[in-house]
Amino acid sequence: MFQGFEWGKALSTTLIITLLGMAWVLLQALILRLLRGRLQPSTHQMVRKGLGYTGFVVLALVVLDTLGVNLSAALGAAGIVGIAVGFAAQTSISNIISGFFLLSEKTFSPGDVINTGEASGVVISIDLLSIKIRTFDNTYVRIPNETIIKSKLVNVTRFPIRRLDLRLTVAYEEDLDHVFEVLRQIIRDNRFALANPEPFLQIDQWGIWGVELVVGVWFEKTDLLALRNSLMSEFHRGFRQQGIRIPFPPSSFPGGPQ
Amino acid sequence: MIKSTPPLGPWDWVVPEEGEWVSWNLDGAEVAIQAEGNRWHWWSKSRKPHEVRRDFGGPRRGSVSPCGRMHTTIARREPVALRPMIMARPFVVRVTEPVPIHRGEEVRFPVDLPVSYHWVNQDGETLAHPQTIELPRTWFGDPSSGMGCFLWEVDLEDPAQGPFGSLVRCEVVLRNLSKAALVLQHFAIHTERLGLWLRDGLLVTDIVVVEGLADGALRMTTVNNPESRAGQNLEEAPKGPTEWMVQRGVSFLKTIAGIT
Repeated sequence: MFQGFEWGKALSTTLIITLLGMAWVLLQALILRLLRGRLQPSTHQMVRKGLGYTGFVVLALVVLDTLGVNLSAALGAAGIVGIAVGFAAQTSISNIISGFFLLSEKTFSPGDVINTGEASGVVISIDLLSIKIRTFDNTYVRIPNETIIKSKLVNVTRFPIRRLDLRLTVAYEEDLDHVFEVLRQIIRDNRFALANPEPFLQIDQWGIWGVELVVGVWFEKTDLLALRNSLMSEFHRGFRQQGIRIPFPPSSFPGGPQ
Repeated sequence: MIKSTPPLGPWDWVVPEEGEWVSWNLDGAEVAIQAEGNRWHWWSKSRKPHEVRRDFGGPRRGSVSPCGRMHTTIARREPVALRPMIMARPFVVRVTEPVPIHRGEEVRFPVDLPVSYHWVNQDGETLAHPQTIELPRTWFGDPSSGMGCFLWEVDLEDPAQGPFGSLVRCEVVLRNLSKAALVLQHFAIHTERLGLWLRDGLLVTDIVVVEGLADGALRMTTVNNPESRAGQNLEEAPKGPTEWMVQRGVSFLKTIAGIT
Protein backbone atom coordinates (compact mmCIF):
# COMPACT_ATOMS: atom_id res chain seq x y z
CA MET A 1 0.00 0.00 0.00
CA PHE A 2 2.82 2.34 0.89
CA GLN A 3 5.06 1.15 -1.90
CA GLY A 4 7.05 4.03 -3.37
CA PHE A 5 6.01 6.31 -0.58
CA GLU A 6 8.93 8.49 0.49
CA TRP A 7 8.81 9.00 4.22
CA GLY A 8 11.56 11.61 4.09
CA LYS A 9 9.70 13.78 1.58
CA ALA A 10 6.42 13.43 3.47
CA LEU A 11 8.10 14.45 6.70
CA SER A 12 9.83 17.45 5.15
CA THR A 13 6.58 18.51 3.44
CA THR A 14 4.68 18.29 6.74
CA LEU A 15 7.42 20.24 8.46
CA ILE A 16 7.39 22.92 5.77
CA ILE A 17 3.58 23.20 5.91
CA THR A 18 3.70 23.53 9.69
CA LEU A 19 6.51 26.09 9.76
CA LEU A 20 5.19 28.11 6.86
CA GLY A 21 1.66 28.01 8.28
CA MET A 22 2.86 29.22 11.68
CA ALA A 23 5.04 31.89 10.10
CA TRP A 24 2.14 33.10 7.98
CA VAL A 25 -0.27 33.18 10.94
CA LEU A 26 2.26 35.19 12.95
CA LEU A 27 2.94 37.56 10.06
CA GLN A 28 -0.79 37.99 9.46
CA ALA A 29 -1.39 38.72 13.15
CA LEU A 30 1.46 41.24 13.15
CA ILE A 31 0.18 43.05 10.05
CA LEU A 32 -3.39 43.12 11.37
CA ARG A 33 -2.20 44.38 14.74
CA LEU A 34 -0.24 47.19 13.05
CA LEU A 35 -3.27 48.13 10.98
CA ARG A 36 -5.76 48.00 13.86
CA GLY A 37 -7.15 51.42 14.61
CA ARG A 38 -5.75 52.85 11.38
CA LEU A 39 -8.34 51.22 9.16
CA GLN A 40 -12.10 51.13 9.35
CA PRO A 41 -13.40 47.80 10.70
CA SER A 42 -14.78 46.82 7.27
CA THR A 43 -11.42 47.53 5.54
CA HIS A 44 -9.61 45.67 8.31
CA GLN A 45 -11.84 42.65 7.76
CA MET A 46 -11.25 42.75 4.01
CA VAL A 47 -7.45 42.94 4.50
CA ARG A 48 -7.69 39.98 6.88
CA LYS A 49 -9.56 37.92 4.30
CA GLY A 50 -7.10 38.95 1.55
CA LEU A 51 -4.11 37.94 3.69
CA GLY A 52 -5.77 34.60 4.45
CA TYR A 53 -6.35 33.81 0.77
CA THR A 54 -2.82 34.92 -0.21
CA GLY A 55 -1.29 32.73 2.51
CA PHE A 56 -3.31 29.76 1.35
CA VAL A 57 -2.18 30.17 -2.28
CA VAL A 58 1.50 30.64 -1.32
CA LEU A 59 1.36 27.62 0.96
CA ALA A 60 -0.26 25.48 -1.73
CA LEU A 61 2.43 26.46 -4.28
CA VAL A 62 5.25 25.68 -1.84
CA VAL A 63 3.75 22.30 -0.98
CA LEU A 64 3.31 21.39 -4.63
CA ASP A 65 6.91 22.44 -5.33
CA THR A 66 8.16 20.33 -2.40
CA LEU A 67 6.22 17.34 -3.66
CA GLY A 68 8.00 17.66 -6.98
CA VAL A 69 5.09 18.93 -9.04
CA ASN A 70 6.32 20.89 -12.06
CA LEU A 71 5.01 24.33 -11.22
CA SER A 72 6.06 26.06 -14.44
CA ALA A 73 3.84 23.70 -16.44
CA ALA A 74 1.09 24.02 -13.85
CA LEU A 75 1.38 27.82 -13.81
CA GLY A 76 1.35 27.88 -17.62
CA ALA A 77 -1.80 25.82 -17.59
CA ALA A 78 -3.11 28.02 -14.82
CA GLY A 79 -2.48 31.06 -17.01
CA ILE A 80 -4.66 29.66 -19.76
CA VAL A 81 -7.26 28.59 -17.24
CA GLY A 82 -6.93 32.04 -15.66
CA ILE A 83 -7.80 33.77 -18.93
CA ALA A 84 -10.85 31.56 -19.31
CA VAL A 85 -11.85 32.06 -15.70
CA GLY A 86 -11.14 35.77 -16.05
CA PHE A 87 -13.68 36.10 -18.84
CA ALA A 88 -16.16 34.11 -16.81
CA ALA A 89 -15.48 36.05 -13.62
CA GLN A 90 -15.62 39.56 -15.02
CA THR A 91 -18.55 40.47 -12.79
CA SER A 92 -16.90 39.11 -9.67
CA ILE A 93 -13.64 40.92 -10.38
CA SER A 94 -15.53 44.10 -11.12
CA ASN A 95 -17.28 43.72 -7.77
CA ILE A 96 -13.99 43.16 -5.96
CA ILE A 97 -12.41 46.25 -7.51
CA SER A 98 -15.59 48.23 -6.80
CA GLY A 99 -15.34 47.02 -3.20
CA PHE A 100 -11.87 48.54 -2.91
CA PHE A 101 -13.15 51.84 -4.30
CA LEU A 102 -16.04 51.79 -1.86
CA LEU A 103 -13.68 51.26 1.04
CA SER A 104 -11.21 53.90 -0.10
CA GLU A 105 -13.97 56.48 -0.65
CA LYS A 106 -15.38 55.85 2.83
CA THR A 107 -18.83 56.86 1.68
CA PHE A 108 -20.42 54.78 4.41
CA SER A 109 -19.50 52.23 7.03
CA PRO A 110 -21.34 49.45 8.89
CA GLY A 111 -24.09 50.94 11.05
CA ASP A 112 -24.89 53.79 8.65
CA VAL A 113 -28.34 54.09 7.14
CA ILE A 114 -28.13 54.26 3.35
CA ASN A 115 -30.61 54.73 0.58
CA THR A 116 -29.80 53.36 -2.87
CA GLY A 117 -32.00 52.82 -5.87
CA GLU A 118 -32.18 49.18 -4.78
CA ALA A 119 -33.12 49.44 -1.11
CA SER A 120 -32.85 51.46 2.10
CA GLY A 121 -31.58 50.18 5.41
CA VAL A 122 -28.76 49.79 7.88
CA VAL A 123 -25.42 48.61 6.50
CA ILE A 124 -24.46 45.29 8.10
CA SER A 125 -21.19 44.63 6.28
CA ILE A 126 -19.06 45.67 3.32
CA ASP A 127 -17.56 42.53 1.77
CA LEU A 128 -15.39 41.61 -1.19
CA LEU A 129 -18.25 41.19 -3.62
CA SER A 130 -21.22 42.92 -2.09
CA ILE A 131 -22.62 44.93 0.76
CA LYS A 132 -25.32 43.59 3.02
CA ILE A 133 -28.03 45.75 4.47
CA ARG A 134 -30.94 45.17 6.79
CA THR A 135 -34.03 47.02 5.61
CA PHE A 136 -36.40 48.74 8.01
CA ASP A 137 -38.99 46.00 7.57
CA ASN A 138 -36.27 43.54 8.62
CA THR A 139 -35.28 41.89 5.37
CA TYR A 140 -31.71 41.04 4.39
CA VAL A 141 -30.57 42.57 1.12
CA ARG A 142 -27.32 41.88 -0.75
CA ILE A 143 -26.29 44.55 -3.23
CA PRO A 144 -23.26 43.91 -5.53
CA ASN A 145 -20.47 46.44 -5.05
CA GLU A 146 -20.52 47.27 -8.75
CA THR A 147 -24.16 48.33 -8.49
CA ILE A 148 -23.36 50.60 -5.57
CA ILE A 149 -20.47 52.23 -7.43
CA LYS A 150 -22.62 52.82 -10.51
CA SER A 151 -25.69 54.19 -8.77
CA LYS A 152 -26.58 57.18 -6.66
CA LEU A 153 -26.25 56.49 -2.95
CA VAL A 154 -27.52 58.61 -0.05
CA ASN A 155 -25.91 58.17 3.35
CA VAL A 156 -28.67 59.33 5.65
CA THR A 157 -26.68 59.17 8.89
CA ARG A 158 -23.33 60.56 7.77
CA PHE A 159 -23.70 63.77 9.79
CA PRO A 160 -24.82 63.93 13.42
CA ILE A 161 -27.76 66.24 12.75
CA ARG A 162 -30.30 66.48 9.94
CA ARG A 163 -33.09 68.74 8.84
CA LEU A 164 -36.66 67.58 8.43
CA ASP A 165 -38.61 69.56 5.84
CA LEU A 166 -42.37 69.46 6.31
CA ARG A 167 -44.84 70.91 3.82
CA LEU A 168 -48.02 72.50 5.11
CA THR A 169 -50.87 74.30 3.43
CA VAL A 170 -53.02 76.97 5.12
CA ALA A 171 -56.07 78.79 3.80
CA TYR A 172 -55.58 82.07 1.92
CA GLU A 173 -57.62 83.91 4.56
CA GLU A 174 -55.10 83.19 7.32
CA ASP A 175 -52.72 85.78 8.77
CA LEU A 176 -49.34 84.31 7.80
CA ASP A 177 -47.45 86.17 10.55
CA HIS A 178 -49.74 84.55 13.10
CA VAL A 179 -49.30 81.15 11.45
CA PHE A 180 -45.52 81.53 11.57
CA GLU A 181 -45.64 82.55 15.23
CA VAL A 182 -47.73 79.48 16.10
CA LEU A 183 -45.33 77.23 14.18
CA ARG A 184 -42.27 78.76 15.88
CA GLN A 185 -43.80 78.29 19.32
CA ILE A 186 -44.62 74.64 18.61
CA ILE A 187 -41.08 73.98 17.36
CA ARG A 188 -39.59 75.77 20.40
CA ASP A 189 -41.61 73.53 22.72
CA ASN A 190 -40.78 70.29 20.90
CA ARG A 191 -38.16 68.32 22.80
CA PHE A 192 -36.62 66.76 19.70
CA ALA A 193 -36.24 69.99 17.69
CA LEU A 194 -32.87 71.74 18.00
CA ALA A 195 -32.79 75.44 18.84
CA ASN A 196 -29.50 75.80 16.98
CA PRO A 197 -29.31 75.64 13.94
CA GLU A 198 -32.51 77.64 13.93
CA PRO A 199 -35.56 76.27 12.13
CA PHE A 200 -36.57 78.01 8.94
CA LEU A 201 -40.05 78.88 7.75
CA GLN A 202 -40.67 79.65 4.13
CA ILE A 203 -43.63 80.46 1.92
CA ASP A 204 -43.14 77.97 -0.88
CA GLN A 205 -45.85 78.96 -3.34
CA TRP A 206 -49.43 80.05 -3.88
CA GLY A 207 -51.06 76.67 -4.27
CA ILE A 208 -54.38 75.63 -5.74
CA TRP A 209 -56.06 75.25 -2.34
CA GLY A 210 -54.01 77.57 -0.16
CA VAL A 211 -50.62 79.01 0.75
CA GLU A 212 -48.01 76.27 0.74
CA LEU A 213 -45.35 76.53 3.45
CA VAL A 214 -42.09 74.68 4.08
CA VAL A 215 -40.97 74.22 7.68
CA GLY A 216 -37.38 73.00 8.16
CA VAL A 217 -36.50 71.70 11.62
CA TRP A 218 -33.07 70.43 12.70
CA PHE A 219 -32.79 67.32 14.84
CA GLU A 220 -30.30 64.72 16.02
CA LYS A 221 -30.17 61.92 13.47
CA THR A 222 -31.62 59.28 15.79
CA ASP A 223 -34.80 61.29 16.44
CA LEU A 224 -36.35 61.34 12.95
CA LEU A 225 -39.50 59.38 13.68
CA ALA A 226 -40.05 60.87 17.12
CA LEU A 227 -39.69 64.40 15.73
CA ARG A 228 -41.82 63.79 12.68
CA ASN A 229 -44.69 62.19 14.58
CA SER A 230 -44.68 64.68 17.44
CA LEU A 231 -44.43 67.74 15.18
CA MET A 232 -47.15 66.58 12.81
CA SER A 233 -49.61 65.99 15.66
CA GLU A 234 -48.58 69.21 17.46
CA PHE A 235 -49.06 71.28 14.27
CA HIS A 236 -52.49 69.72 13.81
CA ARG A 237 -53.46 70.41 17.44
CA GLY A 238 -51.97 73.92 17.39
CA PHE A 239 -53.83 74.85 14.19
CA ARG A 240 -57.12 73.57 15.60
CA GLN A 241 -56.64 75.49 18.85
CA GLN A 242 -55.77 78.70 17.01
CA GLY A 243 -58.53 78.27 14.44
CA ILE A 244 -56.07 78.09 11.54
CA ARG A 245 -57.71 76.28 8.66
CA ILE A 246 -55.97 73.56 6.66
CA PRO A 247 -57.68 73.58 3.24
CA PHE A 248 -58.58 70.40 1.43
CA PRO A 249 -60.15 69.75 -1.97
CA PRO A 250 -63.95 70.06 -1.94
CA SER A 251 -65.71 66.83 -2.81
CA SER A 252 -69.29 66.01 -3.64
CA PHE A 253 -71.07 62.69 -3.85
CA PRO A 254 -73.80 61.88 -6.34
CA GLY A 255 -77.07 61.69 -4.45
CA GLY A 256 -75.52 63.25 -1.33
CA PRO A 257 -76.73 66.36 0.47
CA GLN A 258 -76.56 69.54 -1.62
CA MET B 1 -20.88 57.15 42.86
CA ILE B 2 -23.73 58.22 45.13
CA LYS B 3 -22.91 58.04 48.81
CA SER B 4 -25.85 56.83 50.80
CA THR B 5 -25.21 58.43 54.22
CA PRO B 6 -26.00 60.58 56.06
CA PRO B 7 -29.61 61.04 55.00
CA LEU B 8 -30.65 64.66 54.71
CA GLY B 9 -34.08 66.22 54.22
CA PRO B 10 -35.51 65.43 50.80
CA TRP B 11 -32.84 62.85 50.29
CA ASP B 12 -33.96 60.77 53.29
CA TRP B 13 -34.35 57.03 53.04
CA VAL B 14 -37.95 56.01 53.04
CA VAL B 15 -39.84 52.70 53.12
CA PRO B 16 -43.40 53.17 51.92
CA GLU B 17 -46.08 51.23 53.77
CA GLU B 18 -47.86 48.67 51.60
CA GLY B 19 -49.84 50.56 48.95
CA GLU B 20 -48.86 53.97 50.33
CA TRP B 21 -47.68 56.74 48.02
CA VAL B 22 -44.63 58.82 48.84
CA SER B 23 -44.14 62.00 46.83
CA TRP B 24 -41.70 64.83 46.32
CA ASN B 25 -42.29 68.33 44.95
CA LEU B 26 -39.41 69.46 42.76
CA ASP B 27 -40.04 73.14 42.02
CA GLY B 28 -42.88 72.58 39.60
CA ALA B 29 -42.26 68.91 38.91
CA GLU B 30 -43.63 66.10 41.02
CA VAL B 31 -42.55 62.50 41.50
CA ALA B 32 -44.15 59.74 43.55
CA ILE B 33 -43.51 56.09 44.31
CA GLN B 34 -45.59 53.31 45.85
CA ALA B 35 -44.60 49.81 46.96
CA GLU B 36 -46.91 46.82 46.48
CA GLY B 37 -45.04 43.71 47.48
CA ASN B 38 -42.05 43.59 45.19
CA ARG B 39 -43.74 45.83 42.64
CA TRP B 40 -42.93 49.52 42.78
CA HIS B 41 -45.27 51.87 40.95
CA TRP B 42 -44.07 55.36 40.15
CA TRP B 43 -45.02 58.34 38.10
CA SER B 44 -43.62 61.76 37.41
CA LYS B 45 -44.97 65.09 36.27
CA SER B 46 -42.30 67.03 34.43
CA ARG B 47 -42.18 70.75 33.84
CA LYS B 48 -40.78 72.99 31.14
CA PRO B 49 -38.00 75.45 32.02
CA HIS B 50 -40.39 78.40 32.21
CA GLU B 51 -42.63 76.44 34.59
CA VAL B 52 -39.93 76.13 37.29
CA ARG B 53 -41.25 77.74 40.49
CA ARG B 54 -40.26 77.61 44.15
CA ASP B 55 -42.00 74.57 45.53
CA PHE B 56 -39.58 72.03 46.89
CA GLY B 57 -40.28 69.40 49.51
CA GLY B 58 -40.72 65.79 50.41
CA PRO B 59 -40.73 62.94 50.92
CA ARG B 60 -44.39 63.28 51.85
CA ARG B 61 -46.47 60.26 52.76
CA GLY B 62 -50.12 60.06 51.92
CA SER B 63 -52.52 59.83 49.07
CA VAL B 64 -51.65 61.49 45.82
CA SER B 65 -53.55 61.65 42.58
CA PRO B 66 -51.24 60.06 40.05
CA CYS B 67 -51.09 62.09 36.89
CA GLY B 68 -49.37 61.05 33.71
CA ARG B 69 -48.19 57.63 32.78
CA MET B 70 -47.74 55.01 35.50
CA HIS B 71 -44.62 52.87 35.46
CA THR B 72 -43.77 49.69 37.31
CA THR B 73 -40.47 48.23 38.38
CA ILE B 74 -39.75 45.05 40.30
CA ALA B 75 -37.36 45.21 43.23
CA ARG B 76 -36.92 44.03 46.78
CA ARG B 77 -38.93 45.84 49.46
CA GLU B 78 -36.30 48.01 51.12
CA PRO B 79 -35.56 51.66 51.82
CA VAL B 80 -35.29 53.92 48.77
CA ALA B 81 -34.14 57.50 48.41
CA LEU B 82 -34.40 60.12 45.72
CA ARG B 83 -31.00 61.23 44.44
CA PRO B 84 -29.99 64.03 42.08
CA MET B 85 -27.54 63.49 39.22
CA ILE B 86 -25.73 65.92 36.98
CA MET B 87 -27.09 65.86 33.44
CA ALA B 88 -24.86 63.98 31.02
CA ARG B 89 -25.18 66.46 28.15
CA PRO B 90 -23.45 69.83 28.15
CA PHE B 91 -25.53 72.97 28.58
CA VAL B 92 -25.52 75.93 26.27
CA VAL B 93 -26.60 78.73 28.57
CA ARG B 94 -28.39 81.64 26.91
CA VAL B 95 -28.31 84.95 28.77
CA THR B 96 -31.59 86.82 28.30
CA GLU B 97 -29.92 90.23 28.73
CA PRO B 98 -26.48 90.16 27.03
CA VAL B 99 -23.66 91.50 29.24
CA PRO B 100 -20.64 93.29 27.72
CA ILE B 101 -17.30 92.23 29.23
CA HIS B 102 -14.36 94.48 28.44
CA ARG B 103 -10.92 93.09 27.82
CA GLY B 104 -9.14 92.00 30.96
CA GLU B 105 -12.39 92.03 32.92
CA GLU B 106 -13.89 89.18 34.87
CA VAL B 107 -17.51 88.48 35.62
CA ARG B 108 -18.73 86.03 38.25
CA PHE B 109 -22.30 84.81 38.54
CA PRO B 110 -24.28 81.76 39.65
CA VAL B 111 -26.30 79.64 37.25
CA ASP B 112 -28.94 77.24 38.55
CA LEU B 113 -28.90 74.18 36.32
CA PRO B 114 -31.46 71.39 36.21
CA VAL B 115 -30.44 67.92 37.37
CA SER B 116 -31.96 64.54 36.73
CA TYR B 117 -33.29 62.35 39.52
CA HIS B 118 -33.43 58.68 40.28
CA TRP B 119 -34.57 56.44 43.11
CA VAL B 120 -31.83 54.26 44.54
CA ASN B 121 -31.76 51.43 47.01
CA GLN B 122 -29.14 51.08 49.72
CA ASP B 123 -26.89 49.06 47.40
CA GLY B 124 -26.73 52.09 45.13
CA GLU B 125 -28.86 50.42 42.43
CA THR B 126 -31.24 52.61 40.47
CA LEU B 127 -34.90 51.60 40.74
CA ALA B 128 -36.28 54.17 38.35
CA HIS B 129 -35.36 57.34 36.55
CA PRO B 130 -38.32 59.76 36.44
CA GLN B 131 -38.29 62.60 33.97
CA THR B 132 -38.70 65.90 35.79
CA ILE B 133 -37.86 68.51 33.19
CA GLU B 134 -38.35 68.87 29.44
CA LEU B 135 -35.29 70.66 28.17
CA PRO B 136 -34.99 72.08 24.68
CA ARG B 137 -32.01 70.81 22.76
CA THR B 138 -29.44 72.63 20.75
CA TRP B 139 -26.34 71.76 18.82
CA PHE B 140 -22.74 72.49 19.74
CA GLY B 141 -20.87 72.90 16.49
CA ASP B 142 -21.61 72.93 12.80
CA PRO B 143 -24.03 70.56 11.06
CA SER B 144 -21.24 68.07 10.28
CA SER B 145 -19.67 67.81 13.74
CA GLY B 146 -20.24 68.74 17.35
CA MET B 147 -22.51 67.39 20.03
CA GLY B 148 -26.02 67.67 21.38
CA CYS B 149 -26.57 70.08 24.26
CA PHE B 150 -29.42 71.28 26.43
CA LEU B 151 -30.44 74.87 26.05
CA TRP B 152 -30.90 76.74 29.32
CA GLU B 153 -31.90 80.38 29.66
CA VAL B 154 -30.78 82.53 32.59
CA ASP B 155 -31.51 86.10 33.56
CA LEU B 156 -28.41 87.53 35.21
CA GLU B 157 -30.22 90.73 36.12
CA ASP B 158 -33.09 89.06 37.96
CA PRO B 159 -32.93 90.43 41.53
CA ALA B 160 -35.32 87.73 42.76
CA GLN B 161 -32.91 85.05 41.69
CA GLY B 162 -31.94 82.69 44.45
CA PRO B 163 -31.11 79.05 44.89
CA PHE B 164 -33.80 76.53 44.02
CA GLY B 165 -34.03 73.29 45.97
CA SER B 166 -34.32 71.11 42.89
CA LEU B 167 -31.70 72.86 40.76
CA VAL B 168 -27.94 72.74 41.22
CA ARG B 169 -26.06 75.98 41.75
CA CYS B 170 -23.02 76.34 39.51
CA GLU B 171 -20.66 79.26 40.03
CA VAL B 172 -19.37 80.55 36.69
CA VAL B 173 -16.34 82.79 36.28
CA LEU B 174 -15.93 84.31 32.84
CA ARG B 175 -12.66 86.10 32.07
CA ASN B 176 -12.04 88.03 28.91
CA LEU B 177 -8.33 87.61 28.17
CA SER B 178 -8.80 88.48 24.49
CA LYS B 179 -7.88 91.82 22.98
CA ALA B 180 -11.44 92.84 22.24
CA ALA B 181 -14.57 93.33 24.27
CA LEU B 182 -17.03 90.47 24.17
CA VAL B 183 -20.74 90.45 24.68
CA LEU B 184 -21.86 87.57 26.82
CA GLN B 185 -24.88 86.07 25.13
CA HIS B 186 -24.22 82.33 25.33
CA PHE B 187 -21.66 80.10 26.93
CA ALA B 188 -21.28 76.36 27.34
CA ILE B 189 -20.98 74.38 30.55
CA HIS B 190 -19.47 70.93 30.13
CA THR B 191 -21.01 68.89 32.89
CA GLU B 192 -18.78 65.85 32.45
CA ARG B 193 -16.10 67.23 34.82
CA LEU B 194 -18.38 68.60 37.50
CA GLY B 195 -18.77 67.07 40.93
CA LEU B 196 -22.08 67.39 42.79
CA TRP B 197 -22.26 68.43 46.44
CA LEU B 198 -24.90 69.05 49.05
CA ARG B 199 -24.17 72.10 51.22
CA ASP B 200 -26.63 73.59 53.71
CA GLY B 201 -29.45 71.68 52.02
CA LEU B 202 -28.60 73.05 48.55
CA LEU B 203 -27.07 71.32 45.57
CA VAL B 204 -23.83 72.88 44.34
CA THR B 205 -21.16 71.99 41.77
CA ASP B 206 -17.52 72.82 41.33
CA ILE B 207 -16.72 76.25 39.88
CA VAL B 208 -16.61 76.59 36.09
CA VAL B 209 -14.07 79.04 34.66
CA VAL B 210 -14.40 80.07 31.01
CA GLU B 211 -11.62 82.19 29.55
CA GLY B 212 -11.73 83.96 26.22
CA LEU B 213 -8.10 83.85 25.08
CA ALA B 214 -6.07 86.30 23.02
CA ASP B 215 -6.13 84.06 19.95
CA GLY B 216 -9.91 83.92 20.06
CA ALA B 217 -10.14 80.40 21.48
CA LEU B 218 -12.03 79.54 24.63
CA ARG B 219 -10.61 77.61 27.54
CA MET B 220 -12.81 76.00 30.13
CA THR B 221 -11.56 74.87 33.51
CA THR B 222 -13.21 73.20 36.45
CA VAL B 223 -12.02 74.51 39.80
CA ASN B 224 -12.72 72.88 43.14
CA ASN B 225 -15.07 74.96 45.21
CA PRO B 226 -13.79 74.77 48.82
CA GLU B 227 -17.16 75.89 50.17
CA SER B 228 -18.94 73.15 48.24
CA ARG B 229 -16.46 70.56 49.31
CA ALA B 230 -17.24 71.29 52.93
CA GLY B 231 -20.61 69.65 52.24
CA GLN B 232 -21.62 66.11 51.40
CA ASN B 233 -20.36 64.68 48.14
CA LEU B 234 -23.19 63.20 46.05
CA GLU B 235 -21.42 62.65 42.75
CA GLU B 236 -17.67 62.57 42.28
CA ALA B 237 -16.21 64.34 39.24
CA PRO B 238 -14.36 61.89 36.98
CA LYS B 239 -10.62 61.76 37.53
CA GLY B 240 -8.38 63.29 34.92
CA PRO B 241 -7.41 66.74 33.72
CA THR B 242 -9.80 69.46 34.79
CA GLU B 243 -8.71 71.79 32.05
CA TRP B 244 -9.24 71.31 28.38
CA MET B 245 -9.48 73.34 25.25
CA VAL B 246 -12.75 73.09 23.50
CA GLN B 247 -11.60 71.52 20.28
CA ARG B 248 -14.86 70.95 18.53
CA GLY B 249 -17.22 73.72 17.71
CA VAL B 250 -14.73 76.47 18.56
CA SER B 251 -16.03 78.71 15.80
CA PHE B 252 -19.56 78.20 17.06
CA LEU B 253 -18.47 79.02 20.59
CA LYS B 254 -16.69 82.14 19.42
CA THR B 255 -19.82 83.20 17.63
CA ILE B 256 -22.13 82.58 20.53
CA ALA B 257 -19.77 84.21 23.01
CA GLY B 258 -19.51 87.27 20.79
CA ILE B 259 -15.73 86.98 20.25
CA THR B 260 -14.84 88.32 16.83
